[in-house]
Amino acid sequence: MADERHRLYGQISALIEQLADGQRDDLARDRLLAEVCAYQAAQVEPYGRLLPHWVAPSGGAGPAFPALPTDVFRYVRVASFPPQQQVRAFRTSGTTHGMRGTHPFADLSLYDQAARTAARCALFPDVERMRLLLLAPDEAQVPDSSLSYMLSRFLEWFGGPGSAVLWTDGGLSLPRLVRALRAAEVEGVPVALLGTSFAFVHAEDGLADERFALPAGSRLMQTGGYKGRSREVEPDTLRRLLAARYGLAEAQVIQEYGMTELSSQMYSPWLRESQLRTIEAQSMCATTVDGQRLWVPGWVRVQAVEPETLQPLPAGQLGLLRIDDLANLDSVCAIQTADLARVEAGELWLLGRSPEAMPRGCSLAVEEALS
Amino acid sequence: MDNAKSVLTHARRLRGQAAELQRMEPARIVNGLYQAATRLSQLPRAQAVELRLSLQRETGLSLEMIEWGLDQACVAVEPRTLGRLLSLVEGDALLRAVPAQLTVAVLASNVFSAPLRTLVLSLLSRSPLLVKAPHTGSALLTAFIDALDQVDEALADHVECVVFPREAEDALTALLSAAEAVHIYGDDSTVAAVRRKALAGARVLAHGHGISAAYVPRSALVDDSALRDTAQRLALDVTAYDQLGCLSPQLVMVQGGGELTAFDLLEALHRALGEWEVILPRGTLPRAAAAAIVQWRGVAAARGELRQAMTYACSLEQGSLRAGPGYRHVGLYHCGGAEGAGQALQAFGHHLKSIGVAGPSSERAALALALPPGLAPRLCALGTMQTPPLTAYFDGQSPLFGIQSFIQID
Repeated sequence: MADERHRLYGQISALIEQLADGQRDDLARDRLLAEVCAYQAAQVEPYGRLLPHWVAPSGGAGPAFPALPTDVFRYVRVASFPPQQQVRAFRTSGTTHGMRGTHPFADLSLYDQAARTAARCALFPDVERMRLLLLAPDEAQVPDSSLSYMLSRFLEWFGGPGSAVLWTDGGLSLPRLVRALRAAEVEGVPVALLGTSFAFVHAEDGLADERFALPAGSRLMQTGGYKGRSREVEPDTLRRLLAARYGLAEAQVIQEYGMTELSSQMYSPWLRESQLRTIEAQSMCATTVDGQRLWVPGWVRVQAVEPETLQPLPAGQLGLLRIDDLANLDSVCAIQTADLARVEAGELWLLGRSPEAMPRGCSLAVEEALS
Repeated sequence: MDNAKSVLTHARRLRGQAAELQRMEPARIVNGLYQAATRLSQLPRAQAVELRLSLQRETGLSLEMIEWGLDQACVAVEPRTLGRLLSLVEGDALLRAVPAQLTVAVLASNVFSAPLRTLVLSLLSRSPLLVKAPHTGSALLTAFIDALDQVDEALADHVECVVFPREAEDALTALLSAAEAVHIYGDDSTVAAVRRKALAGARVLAHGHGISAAYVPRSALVDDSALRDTAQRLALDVTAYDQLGCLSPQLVMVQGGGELTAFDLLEALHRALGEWEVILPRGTLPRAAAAAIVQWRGVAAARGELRQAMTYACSLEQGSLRAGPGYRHVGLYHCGGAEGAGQALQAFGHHLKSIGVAGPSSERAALALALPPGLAPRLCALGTMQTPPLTAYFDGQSPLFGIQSFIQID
């Protein structure tokens, strides 16, 4: 099996490399996904147990393998390697409702390759390096956070002089943020602000009337939910607020979508599109009532599936988001989320959790009792 | 939709007429309630259809389930049960019952038949009742009050139903302004909001959200016949109201060491759920619930045995207990007997509303003795979890708590 893993690793890495400029080869991707799923069904016991319950779509119209629901990561170990080979484990954020999911890694090289390639494509398409300002803890502060790991790697891969982590002692340092931004203004050096949505909301609440005019080429990446750590702000509203606060065009405010259970990330497409000059990015960056538009790397397949049958829906129809991520070689690449989305022409429109009332009060009470 | 002014008017009127209700003969009240229930079960066709469609709109349950729920609700309001309640209500020579001058009930929307219980208990106790219905409506309560009005207008005059938005703080204040007894059904935030606004001397009984469980001792798995009976009863308790009420079992603790195993029960339960699905089909499934079901089934398959169909599933799992998504999804877990079941369920504390117990009544008594401190669920026979009698205790309290107080004559 080590040989098989080695073979698959080589093919996945080659495909990511091949698609580094944002191209697509869905046939190659899907062929490889089928091979990887078959390998994982034999190597990852919880995933193998899912197979007898899976009804593949008729006529080969959809995936031949099931997707593992994200909750499984909270209850069982999802890995194709023994615990003693683990080099890292990322954990979902702690909430008041239940246990944290764990995603173990024996090798972070595919994760790194996927994260670097996607970020180069969608977040830094126009620069080799630039000044990065992190509104989130780095990996030294939170070693089990995949976001902190990724942002620490960004510092290494894309960080220029003056890059800094503005999160200290469990919180965002507003004075340091202000000093860093004023320095960037004075020096005329573009910056990339990278952080969590709740950190940016905290900044909004703390910065009062401070406004900034960041130099051309600056950008902002925000990610993650609020998890009860701040008030919640609608995505369109937050983007407008952030653009106004930091003196950016709305097309320079990028949403990142990632999960602890994945190795790859997705991004708002407008920086990349404006770089490619394929469209007037500003006019396309608004979200619609159908959700936030996200660019999906070519080695990731996204599908909206019917909630009861889990079969793929026709393009444009709203369903539960299934993500098949080739970079998840040592766990399970086919992941079933509880997020609502629609997929059209290879693009993902993410709605987030269903707006209907859920969980029930009973569930909340029970989850609190069990946690 | 009511506002603070109309709510206050109702509250004052009801309280002002309390003495009139208290002069009513008990037999008249019993007869009025029974006749109203009978009339409700025999509505003219157009009204019957409208009631069922209203309940379907409110709850999303199938028409078959609504019919079942209506039958259960009306059958419960019958002379023998009412007579037993009356004997609780009346007190004795040394303990004189004093009804609350006004009882207020704040209802939740999970189980449509629950409001009748509060209405019957209040009127039998001769306490006028002001009900805040959930925003989704309360078609059954309204229909019962209408039926009561037709059989005994004077009796019906001591009940009123109001509706106002959750955020209407002034209306809530008006609702509670004259209440001596308050029964609250709802989530923790509703309970907290009502407690804050209740009068200082008001007697408050909170039925907050929670869950229920089932316990299957090995005595209920002695042979195939016992297995089938246990599975059928458990399946009915899971199926009723699509498992959305606080009395629906979300977990099943199964004692090992019997002739038949928890795995045998899993297979039998799967079959029984299928049989009940034909008789009582599941209602509509909200998308968020479907998403939660996908997650639940995945974990069940990953760490245990999953048996599933489109509209229901059951599992036998190792490891920590976990909540289910409802809509007929239930997990079985091994336990070492009554003590083991009690210890496993201890974490739920006051959220644990009831435990359905398979097997003979001695098993319920044994479980009661084995429950750890802090737990006060109702223990009942499996198969009857969703049809508690009007005399049932909940949250460790008499059904008449607060509606009555007593003058002790030494």
